[in-house]
Amino acid sequence: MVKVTGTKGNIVDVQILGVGEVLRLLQQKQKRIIIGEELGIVRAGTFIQEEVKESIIGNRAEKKSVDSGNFANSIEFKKIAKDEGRVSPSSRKYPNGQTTDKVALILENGTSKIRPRRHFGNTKTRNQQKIKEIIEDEIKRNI
Amino acid sequence: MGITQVQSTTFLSDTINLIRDKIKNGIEDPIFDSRPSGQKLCYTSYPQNAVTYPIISIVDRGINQVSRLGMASEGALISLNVEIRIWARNVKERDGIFDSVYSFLRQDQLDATSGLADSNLHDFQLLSAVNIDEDGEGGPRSKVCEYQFLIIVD
Repeated sequence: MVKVTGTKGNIVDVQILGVGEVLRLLQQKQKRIIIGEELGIVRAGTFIQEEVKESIIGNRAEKKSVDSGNFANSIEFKKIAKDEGRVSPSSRKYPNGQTTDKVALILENGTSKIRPRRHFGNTKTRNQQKIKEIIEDEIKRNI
Repeated sequence: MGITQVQSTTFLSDTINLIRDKIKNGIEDPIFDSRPSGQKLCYTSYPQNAVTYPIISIVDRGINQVSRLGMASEGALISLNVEIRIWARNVKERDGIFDSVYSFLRQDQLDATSGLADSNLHDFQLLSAVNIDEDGEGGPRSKVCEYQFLIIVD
């Protein structure tokens, strides 16, 4: 109950109803936004994981880097923190002892003998807007 | 006279050439006296011909428009990633050149008449520095450094 001065100088009692309900509604919305954001990160991460694989197998602008399929198959998305995910190669061994994560570094940046094939960097640049859209969509769907 | 200002219509080539010129003039070439004629310290693409290490290559690594400068404006804020890669004969030389390049650019940001910001390259940031060492004796040691700049175009 709040007391305010009326237009004729008298005191008017004003009762605000439903404060609890509004607070509960806002808290529910906040929870749904957080859930939407988390789902959005997973969806966007999975999308980027597939885009990097497409790039490696030659379906994007970069030159393909397929030999045994080990490299493309090693690409995986992991949610590493509350608002953070990572798409990277897991460490798989080739018969010659090299690992996919070392090969990824060399292919991404090139050496004095091979030109870079930026599967990761170019995928990120190409899809920055798409990542935002996926997360936004997921939040909107959850509200 | 080299590039002194990044212009709106030629911002990509201006940025690469400006950074090349700055590094060329600001960093000491460790083999200045013995470098073969026709070869140089800085390149704006990966060299196709034989080179003598150390060298520094400067290439762009992606551009995106961060935002427009207003609803009724044709201007935009552009984020440009630049790769400055140091190729050296050994780890000590590689790391020494990296230190020199990074310190030089960091300290060149706010110079009143010729600094990066005055040339329209704002918000200097080093995003990452990754070592790529090639196997074998005499295999070049390189460090791939990604820098980011914001450019106002209008």
